[in-house]
Amino acid sequence: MSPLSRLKALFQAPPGDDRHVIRLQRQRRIYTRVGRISPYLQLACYVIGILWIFATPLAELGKSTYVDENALQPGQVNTYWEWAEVHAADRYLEGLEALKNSNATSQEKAGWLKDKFLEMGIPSGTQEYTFATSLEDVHGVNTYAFHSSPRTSGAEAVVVSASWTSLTGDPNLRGVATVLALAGFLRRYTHWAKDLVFVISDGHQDGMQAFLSTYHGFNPSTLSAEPLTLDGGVIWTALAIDYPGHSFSHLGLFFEGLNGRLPNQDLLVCAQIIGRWTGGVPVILHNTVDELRQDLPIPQWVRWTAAVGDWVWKEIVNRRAVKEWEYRAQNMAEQAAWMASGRASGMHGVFHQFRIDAITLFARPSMGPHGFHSLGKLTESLLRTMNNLLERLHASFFFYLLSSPASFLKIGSYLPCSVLIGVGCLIGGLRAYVNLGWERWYSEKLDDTKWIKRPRRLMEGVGTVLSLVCIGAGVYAYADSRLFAPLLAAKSALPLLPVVLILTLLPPFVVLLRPNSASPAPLAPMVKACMLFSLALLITPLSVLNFPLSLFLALLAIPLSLVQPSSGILPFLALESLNPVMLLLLQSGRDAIRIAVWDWQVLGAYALPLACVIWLPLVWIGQAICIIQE
Amino acid sequence: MPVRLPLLIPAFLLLLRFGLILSPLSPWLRDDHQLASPLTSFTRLKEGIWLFQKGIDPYHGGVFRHSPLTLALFTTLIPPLPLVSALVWTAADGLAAWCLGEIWRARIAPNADEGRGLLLASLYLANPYNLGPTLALSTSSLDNALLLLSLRFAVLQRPSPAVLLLALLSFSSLPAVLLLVPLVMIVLSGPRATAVPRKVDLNAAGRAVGEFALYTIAFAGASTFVAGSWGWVLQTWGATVMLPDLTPNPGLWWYFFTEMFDHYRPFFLLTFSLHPLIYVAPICLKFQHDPLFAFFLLQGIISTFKSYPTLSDAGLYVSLLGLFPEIYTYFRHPLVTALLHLHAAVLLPLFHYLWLDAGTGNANFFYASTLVFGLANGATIVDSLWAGLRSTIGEKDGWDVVQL
Repeated sequence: MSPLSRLKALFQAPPGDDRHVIRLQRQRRIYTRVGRISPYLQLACYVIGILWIFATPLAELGKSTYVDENALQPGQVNTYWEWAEVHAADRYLEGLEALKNSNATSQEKAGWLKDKFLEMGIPSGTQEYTFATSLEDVHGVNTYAFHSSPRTSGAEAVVVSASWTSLTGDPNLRGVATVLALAGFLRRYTHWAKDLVFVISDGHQDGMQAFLSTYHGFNPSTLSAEPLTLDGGVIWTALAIDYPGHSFSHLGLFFEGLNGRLPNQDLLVCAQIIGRWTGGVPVILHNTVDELRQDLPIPQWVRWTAAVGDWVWKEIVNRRAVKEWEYRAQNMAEQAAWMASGRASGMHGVFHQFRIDAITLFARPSMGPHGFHSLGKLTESLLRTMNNLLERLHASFFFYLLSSPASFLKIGSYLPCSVLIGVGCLIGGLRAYVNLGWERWYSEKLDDTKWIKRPRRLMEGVGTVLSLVCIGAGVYAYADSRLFAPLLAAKSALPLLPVVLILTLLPPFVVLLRPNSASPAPLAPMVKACMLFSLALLITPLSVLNFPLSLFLALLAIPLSLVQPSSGILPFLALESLNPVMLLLLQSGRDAIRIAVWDWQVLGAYALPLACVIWLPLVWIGQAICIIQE
Repeated sequence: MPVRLPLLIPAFLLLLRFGLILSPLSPWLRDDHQLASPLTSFTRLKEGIWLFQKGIDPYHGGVFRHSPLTLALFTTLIPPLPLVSALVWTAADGLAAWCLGEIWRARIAPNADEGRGLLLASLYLANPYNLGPTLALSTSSLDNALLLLSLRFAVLQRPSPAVLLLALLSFSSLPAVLLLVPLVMIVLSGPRATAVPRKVDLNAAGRAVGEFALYTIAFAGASTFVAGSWGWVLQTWGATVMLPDLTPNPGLWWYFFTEMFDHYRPFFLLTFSLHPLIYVAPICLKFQHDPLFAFFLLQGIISTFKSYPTLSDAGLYVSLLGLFPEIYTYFRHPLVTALLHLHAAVLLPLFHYLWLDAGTGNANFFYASTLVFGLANGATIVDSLWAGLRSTIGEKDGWDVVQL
């Protein structure tokens, strides 16, 4: 039978019956068919979702970037930054190096910077701040200067900033020198329609977090900071300049903000165009040089296959398309990792929470050929472009994955990966739920089996999920406390061993405390259905908020949905490999958790609470499904 | 007298909302579009009171759209102070929950209530759809209390207070007028389902409707006296029908009319306004045997299709569903409906945030989530309509109902 006639047969009824009977029979047939194919449908969702992930770096799915906001006009102005300004930057650099060599305190450094700004004739101030975290107190002093717009009332502002510490961890002396020289240079011109705010923030991200929180009137409970003595307009856009090396070869764009927020794509495209054409600097994403990898030589162990191996290496492994795929995949994976972990890739990341589009211009350290001249020139041009804005950046994309500096994926091209997996979970949950409502009943008298309805144990299922989430919340309160955090600094995993053992083995056994139930319906499949529903409910909406995070949950969902109800202790132990508490056993894992605690308490990055309240309980629920013997 | 332990649950829930209203959470939620519409927002109410006390007509200009009766109440008896508002809104929710329990007790009488009344009251108080608007001090919570109180008098078969409260309600929420028909039916034939529709005393019905008209006229006169002119009519009742304020809300109107060319506006306003009318007669005729169920369905239709809904409208409808446990077994797709509601409850605040806080989304996002919400409400109505009809037939082994 052809597929079409099969489809027809599904809707047609045997002739000669009553209209209603036909309708009923058709309904039954369709329900049965849907029930029968639903496992395959679920599997197909998973498989297509996973294949889609591997397809995202393909050039065919991508699109070239373009400037959407016509007001921006990137690279259309004459720039005036010349060698005299480079010389000024060099003088500032000397002063900064002297400060660094004399081990100056934050207070001294900020005082020096404030004097420099005042010498230029720009109103300036310093701000002392302290973040009280459960690891240590983070202390520093910011310097800021406000240059009021000479042309308009200054309702809006643009921030040009540098942090004392680069994203590489080195001192960002040249970045600070660039901002100082820019301040002296830019204030000479009258075409600024926005206030220019120069900020030299202490630390890496903490200083800017303190400055912006105070500027916007937010007072996080962990922060105590001096009030600002100067005030400006609404900040629309911001640039962070990061120049840790001696010279630089490429301009790296860092754009991922806290909790997976991204700046408007127009800002990145303008930086890319201006960097390339005004600054004459090759522009890259992050620190990844835009070169394809070298040809891989055929390894010894493939040699024996002779011609076949040669062909595979020549046509597949070393094929240009594969190398390009790898390059794009690398860029996208880095963006996804920053976003999923909720960390900001640079100092610009703390701006996004205040609805400010910001990026870091990273001067990739190298022996040459670029220096202050090109960096100042392109920053000047980029600021002129931002100066053109009549409304906030809104035209271009906010949802994108960049596969290279000049190509990206639209939301529609990548969203299906996680949404399909979420839909797969939903189908699995629905099937489990429907199946639980029926029981096969065999009558000896009639020698016949039939299906009878039975009540489901929905409340107990929901209760199991909720109680494990509550335990997760308890773990969060513990991990966030001063009691636990210092342990993370320990060199060995030994003092943490009891914590690991308790958190990996005990919580799922909370299901043993459930009240006795007379219900004949099984509980384990119900818990699984509840888990699948919660996964679907998390993955799908999260995909627009933070796509990589939703993809992470989707990937976690696949092993969890393979867990068989009441399958015993072996799968229980296998699931331990998904438990984030296991990270405590590794030095790098402990460091990651320490960073998560720091990021949460200072910057408000969600990684720590999410891991405790979502990731941990999900694994426990999976384990509980294994051990419930009903 | 022994303390009844289960009573602690609603008591706790009331205390919780009292505390939360006084917390900084309440001012933060106060202007949220999902919790307070232009007709129910507390901020606008305070604005109106201020203008009124300064001797400026609050109905001049398009900010204030509360009824003059509300205005009179809040300028005299209830000053909008934090502690007083917290008390009033907590009391209103408590009253609404108590009424719901009473209605249930009346429905199952003469059988004894096995604590389900208390359960319904607790569920009403715990429902986030009801809790949110109360925390935002949206007057839609007070409207809900009025409606439930009116319904309670109706099930006790006391026509005068029932129609009086409904007339009062119609000043703050015009579509409630449609509920007059089922309300009068409840007054006349009682809150219980009967096998055959009772003979209705048409004279009594006429008296109740006449009384309603009388009260409405009296309240309208009082409103004009308070407002000093007829200007309030266009700003309050008129706003419900003509949608002058396109502030987003979880309903289905605002986006449609932001996209509309002006010359189509009158036609679609007429269509949208008259649309709920067509349900009144068929539902009341079909459910003559159970007017409370007709009331429930009609309330759901109104809360889905009204021009300025808040989440508490849907919350009331979902809470009323608890009065009819006999239909639960006949739901055709309860899980789908529940999941739709869950998704809507997640998507509404999420897309609202993406559009108006993060700035990364746009109006279409929030509109899409209101569609999901509309779909969830629609699915609830359609499924309860089916189940309500189906439950009258009962089960017979080997038989299946195809059509009702």
